Amino acid sequence: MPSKSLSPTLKPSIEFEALGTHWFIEAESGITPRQERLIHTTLGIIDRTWSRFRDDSLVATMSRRVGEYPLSVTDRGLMQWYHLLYKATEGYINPLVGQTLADAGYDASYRLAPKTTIATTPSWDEVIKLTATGITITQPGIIDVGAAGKGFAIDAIADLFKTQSYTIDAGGDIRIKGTPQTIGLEHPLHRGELIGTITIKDKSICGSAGNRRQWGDWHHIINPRTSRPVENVIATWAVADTAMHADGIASALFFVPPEQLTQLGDFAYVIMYENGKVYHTNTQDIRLFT
Amino acid sequence: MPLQNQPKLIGLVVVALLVAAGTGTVIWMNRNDASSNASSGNTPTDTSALTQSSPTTAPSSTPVPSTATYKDGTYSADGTYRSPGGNEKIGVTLTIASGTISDVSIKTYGSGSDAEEYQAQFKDGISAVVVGKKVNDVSVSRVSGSSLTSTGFNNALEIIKSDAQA
Repeated sequence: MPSKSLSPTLKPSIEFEALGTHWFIEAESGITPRQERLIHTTLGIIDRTWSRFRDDSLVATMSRRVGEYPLSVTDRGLMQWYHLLYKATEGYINPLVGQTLADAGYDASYRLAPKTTIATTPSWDEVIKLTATGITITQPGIIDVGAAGKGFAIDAIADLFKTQSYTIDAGGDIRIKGTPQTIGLEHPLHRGELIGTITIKDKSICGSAGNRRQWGDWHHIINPRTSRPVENVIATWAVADTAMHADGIASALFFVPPEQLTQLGDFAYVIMYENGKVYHTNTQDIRLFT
Repeated sequence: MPLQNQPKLIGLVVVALLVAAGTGTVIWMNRNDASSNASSGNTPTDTSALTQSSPTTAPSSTPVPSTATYKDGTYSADGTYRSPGGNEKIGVTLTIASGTISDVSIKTYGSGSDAEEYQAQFKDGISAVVVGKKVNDVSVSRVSGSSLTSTGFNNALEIIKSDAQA
């Protein structure tokens, strides 16, 4: 995106590390100091709400005490989206994998007292009830939003720009507004190579791969049922209007075919198998190198 | 995202892919669930048992980025992770020759037929076989994907390195 001559207080772009990933944010009309502060504040709030590795986070509190917790409208949106993903993937995408990880001692704060038996990931209804104002936790459960949390954070930043054109890139998950951009699809096995490109405008593209720590330190992919094609699917991408949707759908495509996700709204997809085969939406915006 | 045209061993990257997926779980099964049937110790075996040919599209050797020396040999590790369907297992075998990783193979224990079923379920998609192109040869503004030199990759490498030094 070409930058115009900006006043000295405006930055054409900023880069920093947050939420376990590298952020690149560019705004056509420049980023004001106030916007830059807001960006960091926003990501800080998301971290304090959803990071299960922080003792003082909301999800850490939820894991210790059952009860009703108020959530902001946007945070409720994330939980509602997760519930849709949970249902569409028949439980493959489950925010309660956090409990399984913690039982196993993966969470640092639990490492000193690992349980002798590792609990099966509980079902949504056993633990979570969404209410009009928040969430009710009916039994101790650790919520992990790794499958859509980064997209959620990207959208929160996008909201700060209102009418401005922007590019937000959080470790390869991207949301843009303004000029159409051609995005390279990184080869999941060969660093520095692309398998194709996709041109998007006013949309988000998010990718998922088996090696990926989806949410920085927040998440490991721990429930790939290998009876499903995780051993064969090596990368997925989804394009949707928001990053939260693109992120969640990219994660879900690891477990279920795209036809099973049509109820989640419009999206385009690219799915790559380890034999080099790629399945993708029939659209001219996608160009693959064959 | 920094992108370099560093050639990488396909297999090493595959190992990263699978080990990273299983790394956390290997660690925690190991550390915390001694009764688990996860077998994650690396066992040197006869290198001659490894007969896979090296991938032709990448150099067959990637230096282990450290000054430490590693015993030549073939190392195998099984990683177990828990899924809604029960415990799942992957096996990773890695050959170190003259201090560098020279070959990698992956064993999956899941059934393959379901994967074929999955593929057969596609209806409206288009199928293609892709080949990689150097990112510098393509005009793009950003790159979407997962960087393989991420912390997860490096963590996986660290585990293999420490095992190979043992």
